[in-house]
Amino acid sequence: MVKTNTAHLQMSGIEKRFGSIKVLKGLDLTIHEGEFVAVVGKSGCGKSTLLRLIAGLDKPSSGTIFVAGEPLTTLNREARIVFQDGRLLPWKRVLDNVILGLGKSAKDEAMKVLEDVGLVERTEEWPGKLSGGQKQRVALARALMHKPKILLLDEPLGALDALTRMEMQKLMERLWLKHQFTTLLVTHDVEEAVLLADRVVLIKDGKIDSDVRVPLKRPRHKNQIGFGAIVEHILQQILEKKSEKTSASLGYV
Amino acid sequence: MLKRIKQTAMNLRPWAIPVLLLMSWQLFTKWGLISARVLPAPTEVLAAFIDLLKTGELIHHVWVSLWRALTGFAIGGSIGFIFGLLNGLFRPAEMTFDTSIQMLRNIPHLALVPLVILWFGIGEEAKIFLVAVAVLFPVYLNTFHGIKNVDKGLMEMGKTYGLSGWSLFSQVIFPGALSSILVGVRYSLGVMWITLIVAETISSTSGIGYMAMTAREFYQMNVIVLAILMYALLGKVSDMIARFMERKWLVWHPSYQFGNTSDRGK
Repeated sequence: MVKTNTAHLQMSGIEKRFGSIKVLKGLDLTIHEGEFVAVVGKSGCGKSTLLRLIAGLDKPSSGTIFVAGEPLTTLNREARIVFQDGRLLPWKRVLDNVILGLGKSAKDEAMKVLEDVGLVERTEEWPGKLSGGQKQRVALARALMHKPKILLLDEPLGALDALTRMEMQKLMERLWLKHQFTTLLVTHDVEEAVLLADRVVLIKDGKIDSDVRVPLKRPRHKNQIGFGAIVEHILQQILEKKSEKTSASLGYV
Repeated sequence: MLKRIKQTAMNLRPWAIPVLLLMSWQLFTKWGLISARVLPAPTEVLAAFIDLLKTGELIHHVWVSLWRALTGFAIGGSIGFIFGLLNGLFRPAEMTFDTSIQMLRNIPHLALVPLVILWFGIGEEAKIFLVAVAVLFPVYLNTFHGIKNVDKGLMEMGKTYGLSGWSLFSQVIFPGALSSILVGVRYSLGVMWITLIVAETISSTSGIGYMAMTAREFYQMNVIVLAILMYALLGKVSDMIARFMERKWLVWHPSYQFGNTSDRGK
């Protein structure tokens, strides 16, 4: 895997307030090009807020986000986001959803991408007739069509059943290995984070509480040596009352 | 075989009561149980229908009514639609116009009849004006609310995928508002006929309502009933057209799924 040391995303002292509620309180995070970073934390900790800031959908109350060295002021053109609820346009057939924003000439390419996510037989279906997993495949395909340098995944598997989740996790890893985009996955499932990410960052009290490197070989599975220990370590961090800042790389391989 | 007879019987069942009513109506009038001054026999209505068809009167009156209805609908519907779009899309427009429109909406449009007769006399303008006023508000309200209620998540998604301005409107906002807009259209088609009936009955020199009112002077019960039936028929046809539009444009919508329309690609 090619990994340069350029900081693709750089955030320092990011704050986000909604009215009187401070969700992010001076968050620092640097993500390198091609890295797969998972963001975990209790619900309401601000993980999705962080993703929306990186997408440029919301603006930080203070602090600046740098994308490849440039401060982000509007929508992040390098990033595409996949939402938990898929957000397919119900009045467009699958193929037309995938080419959204690109025009009819993208249809051939779209067929290839749909084949890649395993949905090539359902291109003429209405989204309303797809299962939750299929909808997320379409949403992924739609994001891939834009050849994003940054892929933002906002709990994309949150609403799926266990079996479909496993399939989708494999798909996401395969796509990431193939396309090498910088990936941010927001999830509440620590196992999923450890299964997929190079780094798992934990948000607590509006800050990065810990930043854990996952040195396990891919493809990973839950019975791999060291897997359980890393999951356990992160869970401990989440549940700990006091937030002690740890930025450790664990020694397990 | 038995199954098929059963199936046919099931299919015909909704028509059983109307047919039964029609038959008893015919018999009761023939036996004199219902006076011809109260209700003419169905066969006489049919005779009137054929007579007026032959002289060309019926077609003339229906045509005039239809023209008034559609012209009024086109004018009022367009105004309602344009304001609905404008106010739904742009906050300053909403601030400027919505309150005024909501105030006007609460005036019963048929209360305007005396005023309208004084303004326009009994010419075409009076009827077209009344129909236009009647359809304006349902179209406005449903367009406005349809646009206001478009899923914000979808709008946000559209923007992140490079849509803006016209493309955002045509691919996300308008299709999202369409089911609500069509509800407005369907409702206003009903109001359109009701308004026209009143307008034509009060002041007219042609049209279905005029046909009924002159028949009243000559005590032609069958022509009056025929006029009522013509209105019913036209109302039904407009409703069918509205339903057709819903089927055509809302095939994707779970509440409008009629049969296997989604199997195009298979």
